Amino acid sequence: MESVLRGGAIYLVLLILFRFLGKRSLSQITTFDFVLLLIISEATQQAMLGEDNSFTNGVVIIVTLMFLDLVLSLIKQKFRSVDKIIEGVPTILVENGQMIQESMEKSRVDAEDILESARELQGLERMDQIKYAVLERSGKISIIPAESSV
Amino acid sequence: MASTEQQSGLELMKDMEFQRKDWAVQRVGWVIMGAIVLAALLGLLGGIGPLSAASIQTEDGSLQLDYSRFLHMLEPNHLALIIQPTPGQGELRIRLNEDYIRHFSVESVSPEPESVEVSGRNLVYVFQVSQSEGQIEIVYYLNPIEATVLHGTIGLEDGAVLEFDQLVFP
Repeated sequence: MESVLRGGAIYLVLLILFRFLGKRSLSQITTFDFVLLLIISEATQQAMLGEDNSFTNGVVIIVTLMFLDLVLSLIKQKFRSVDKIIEGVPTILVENGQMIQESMEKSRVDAEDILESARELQGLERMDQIKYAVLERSGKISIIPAESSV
Repeated sequence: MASTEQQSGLELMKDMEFQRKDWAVQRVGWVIMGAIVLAALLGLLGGIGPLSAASIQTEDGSLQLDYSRFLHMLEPNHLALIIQPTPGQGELRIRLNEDYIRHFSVESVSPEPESVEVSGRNLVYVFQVSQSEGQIEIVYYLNPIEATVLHGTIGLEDGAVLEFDQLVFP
């Protein structure tokens, strides 16, 4: 019984903590974020398995985590408000070439990050070629180029 | 019926019938997953849980054993034997079948026995009793090392004995 409770509790704790950390950390584009995620996974393994390294325990914990994920996804589908709480909402960072300072500051994204995404995704060169830049819920920045640059 | 169609403007291997069966199988999978989580919560897959925790007694109540019906390998668990000692008893001799204990790594026995004797197919744990007042509880801390069905016999060397079964998952 404790395997299910332990696995479930860790899943929920991580979910809540990553929500606090914000969207950028999830997209792990910097070494900084990558190292963080790597080390966290090591720490959670110990907490979840404890001293029990049996096959049965492994399967029970894996199934519990996947089942929780499944249940949450079904709840999110039914209730939009839960979806927002768990996943957050997308944020517009640039509109018609103009950066929205408050959103960028609060999301801890700078102009360089946006330009990097613009180069990678759309091959754009300058900020004024961007119609919209959106910080998606996944942490990725999506770019909609301004009409004239097509 | 699979087909590579171009009528919808998209060239891909469309097969709605297969997709529907796929979705149906997925839902069956969800039920199985839910059943596994439920079974684990109830203790059926080992450890603590309402369906796993068991307690048996002799008819006169002089001997009681608390144990878990279901275990899985490498999961620390314990046997708790509760004895009503006879007054004036200087020594407590507990008999446990060797066949049972062989399937475990014995972490410790609390309290520690004075000695352990081999008696035929059984092990006899000898405990010193300086004052026999109230109940005595002997706890074996065990770690299963084999996935198997176990039958245990535990009790006083020349007295009441309790028999129990356990299932150890891999």
